[in-house]
Amino acid sequence: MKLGSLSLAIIAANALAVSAWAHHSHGNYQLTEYTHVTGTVKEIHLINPHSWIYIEIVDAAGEPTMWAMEATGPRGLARAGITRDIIDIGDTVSARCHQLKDGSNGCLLGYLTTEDGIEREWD
Amino acid sequence: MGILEFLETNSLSIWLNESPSIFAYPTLLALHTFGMAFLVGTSTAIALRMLGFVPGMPLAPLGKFFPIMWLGFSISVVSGTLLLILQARNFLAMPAFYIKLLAIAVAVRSMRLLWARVFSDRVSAGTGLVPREAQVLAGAVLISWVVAITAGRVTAYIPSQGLKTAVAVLISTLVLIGGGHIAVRLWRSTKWAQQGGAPTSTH
Amino acid sequence: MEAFFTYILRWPIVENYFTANVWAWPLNEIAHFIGLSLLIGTVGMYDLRLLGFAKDMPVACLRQLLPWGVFGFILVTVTGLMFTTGIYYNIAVEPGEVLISDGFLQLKLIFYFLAGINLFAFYRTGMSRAVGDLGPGEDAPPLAKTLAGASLFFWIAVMYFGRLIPFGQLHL
Repeated sequence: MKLGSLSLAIIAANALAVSAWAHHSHGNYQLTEYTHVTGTVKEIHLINPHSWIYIEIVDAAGEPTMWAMEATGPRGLARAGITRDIIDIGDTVSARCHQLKDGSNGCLLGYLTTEDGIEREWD
Repeated sequence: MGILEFLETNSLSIWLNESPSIFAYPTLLALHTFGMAFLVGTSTAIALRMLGFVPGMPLAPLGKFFPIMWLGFSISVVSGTLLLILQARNFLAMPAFYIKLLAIAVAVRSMRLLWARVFSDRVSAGTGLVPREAQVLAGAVLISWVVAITAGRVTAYIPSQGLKTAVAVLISTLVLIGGGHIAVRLWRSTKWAQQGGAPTSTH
Repeated sequence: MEAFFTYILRWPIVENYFTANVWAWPLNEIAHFIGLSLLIGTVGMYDLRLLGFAKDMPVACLRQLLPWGVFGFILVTVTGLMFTTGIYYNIAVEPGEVLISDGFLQLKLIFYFLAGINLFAFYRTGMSRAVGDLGPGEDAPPLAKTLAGASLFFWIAVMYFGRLIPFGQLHL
């Protein structure tokens, strides 16, 4: 089964793949309260169907930890006047976002304040 | 990792992934839906005929709808391949994606076998008699579509949610089929009671 | 008046059902897809026959498939209403607001109702009865063909704009 071995090979090669974009439906985020996070931008994916910004924050224990922030896709961003050039890897950004209901390191934007000091709605 | 990265970063993929145009990613999704509708819809109709839900429908003209089904399949394959390429690394790491492909393979293979054994056979294509084997294949087609649609939808969610959804679909389908079976039995028995007994012919 | 549209469409019972069961929204989507496949499949085959495809098929036989299409229609309508009344669970926007903001949702509903009007016309003009007896090789009247073509177009439009809904403007 050539296709089978090819698939297995691909899976094995991807076992260490970074950023498997956690496919969270909006229902997985608690939508009533905002969580505040500030961190350094590590990855930017402004794509369909949802955009993702990965930031590294320093948690309560002083350890660096990754947060995945989900935002709307290119159409929504265009509507909000958000362009690729307002944010870059290494920028310090802060966000008001809706955290995952299970409390893990992910949230739904919400509002993101970029290095230019402007807060925009990335919903 | 090189080839998968290329798949995601070539200019077509980038355009589909990043373009705000409604004719890019959203229309690609819509095409996948069109393909599914005609593929699943037409093959379901054919399967229903095999299972005796549409008695008396001649098989030869029904066979003319196979090209419609294969057209839907082609649209789904092309759009599906593009959708896969856009997030190759993600999809290839999901068990649900492989379940979806397997289910589609079972359904497509079953339809091809049905074509070969029932529709292209000149003897049975005219009379409308359907051998038992065809019914098994038809059942496999219907089950496969429910699995494929469920697995496909579930790729948009996290695995634990997907698993619970699969269970919910299984339970719902069983309840629906069971309920339909009971309903048909009740309807038939009341109808026969009015007519003074069950009909003597079996077809 | 605004309150009527904004709040009357929001049903807490549906929202709570989605919130309490993490499988509920995906199940609703799956039922929606199965329903649309049944609808498009059966109605599509019927429309294609009226348009002259697979003319050896007696129309009455395809008519026997239509109850499955009706079941599909019920599925898509019920699940669609659940999406509408329970949308707040998913995006924290009132259904009324989504309705006035999202052009794709509006277009979908317009084509949905056009398909309904088309069906009504199919019965009212007597075309439904006229085609019911068409045997192998027999052509449908031109008006029936027009209505069949329109039906196919409208349902495909419903599918297209429906798929586009999440990409429209979801709030004011």
